[in-house]
Formats: sequence, structure tokens, C-alpha cells
Amino acid sequence: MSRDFYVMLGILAGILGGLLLAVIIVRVTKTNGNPRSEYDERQTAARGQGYKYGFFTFMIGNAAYAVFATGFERLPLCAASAMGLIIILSVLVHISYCVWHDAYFSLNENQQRLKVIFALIGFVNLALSIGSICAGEMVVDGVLQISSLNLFCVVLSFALLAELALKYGKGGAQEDEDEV
Amino acid sequence: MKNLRLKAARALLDMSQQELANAVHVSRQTINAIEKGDYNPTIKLCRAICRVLGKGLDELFWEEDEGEG
Repeated sequence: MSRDFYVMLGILAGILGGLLLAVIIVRVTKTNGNPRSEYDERQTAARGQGYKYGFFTFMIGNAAYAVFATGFERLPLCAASAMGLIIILSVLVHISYCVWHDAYFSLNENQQRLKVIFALIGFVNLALSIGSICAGEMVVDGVLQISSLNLFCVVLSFALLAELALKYGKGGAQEDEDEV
Repeated sequence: MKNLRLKAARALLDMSQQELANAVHVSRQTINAIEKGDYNPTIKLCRAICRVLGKGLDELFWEEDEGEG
């Protein structure tokens, strides 16, 4: 068997594993059996606004990468890492906006379970990142390699959890107290 | 501008924001935003809220101009 065959097999297994994980997450986090996230009209509007800012971030990030890639002979991160970083930054902008505008969690979402899943994702990626660093695969010849995507996922997961804790935690700003 | 009439109508039925939110299938924060005047709901949501609280649109959402007599 050629190496290409195993690479293709690996990619296929990764896609199937990802799909399976997505199905499990949806099953576990939805409270009413509906796999689709249900948002009310204010949340939908806020999410649209957040998506816009995320999209702008993506465009600016791409333009910045193009400028740096043209202007410098050698960047401290490979193309895949740069793309991953830009995507993670864009997603972070989007979810941050949604969190601060109470539009992150849908109406049919089990928030606690979703937080646990994000923590798990963060820790799994943290373990993979530490493994990459120990194996010397994270940085090769001063250039951040594709395995840095795990590290970016760690930052994203824990940044989201930190924002949720700040927004909804006991010590956080509770600007929307229920007053009957 | 705060919607105190909505808050009063809800309090009259001894409903919490969460209970009203569940009844009209929106988040509690959305009801809170409407009461605080931070969010202007669509007519569809206004009607749903009125139906649950047993009030008319005029009673809860109509804002009289100061000049009107």
C-alpha cells in the first residue's frame, strides 16, 4: 500500500470521526430533541451583527497575511497556521459578540453540558499541543507548524469559557436582574 | 425608553421574566431588553406577549406623543 492511501484513509477517518463527534454533541446539548439551534428574533439579529464583525476580522486577517507574506522573506508561522489563526480570531470575534449580547446559547441548549464539552475540547487540544511541543513538532526552524492549530483551539475554548464566566458568573456583571 | 407598562402587566399576573419568556418562546434576556427599552420587538413578538398577558397592543406598546391630545 502506498503512503497516499494511508493519508487518504486518515483524512476519511478524521472526517467521519468529526461528523460522529458533531452528532453526539448535538444530541447531548439540545434539550428538546430538535438538532437545530433555536434563537429568538433579538438573538438572531445580534448573531448576524456578530457574524459581520467576524467576517470583517477574517478579511482584515487575510489582507494582513498577504501583506506580511509579500513583505517578509520568512514568516514565523506556516501558511496553514496563519489561515488557522485567522479563522480562530474571526470565530473568537463572532462568539465574543454573541456572548456579550446574550445570543450565544440558543433557546434549546443545555448550557452546562456545552460548557463541559468546550472544556473537554480545550483539554484534549492542550494535551495534543503539549505532545507536539515535546516531540519538537510545534516549531521547526523557528517556524510555527500546523500542529499549532491545537494550541489555537485551546486558546479559543478557554477564552470562550472565560467570557462565559465573566458574563454569567457570580462575580460577573449581572445587568439583567429579573425584577417582578 | 423603559417599558414599565409591560413590566407592570407581567407583575400583575405574578409572572417572572423567565416565565413570560418561556410562554412566548424567547430568551429571558430578550424580555429584559424589551422592558429596559434596549430592544424594539417585532409586531409578531408584541402580539405574542399581549396574548399571554391578556392585554392589547395599545396598552403595552403604543407610545403617545406628548403633543397629542
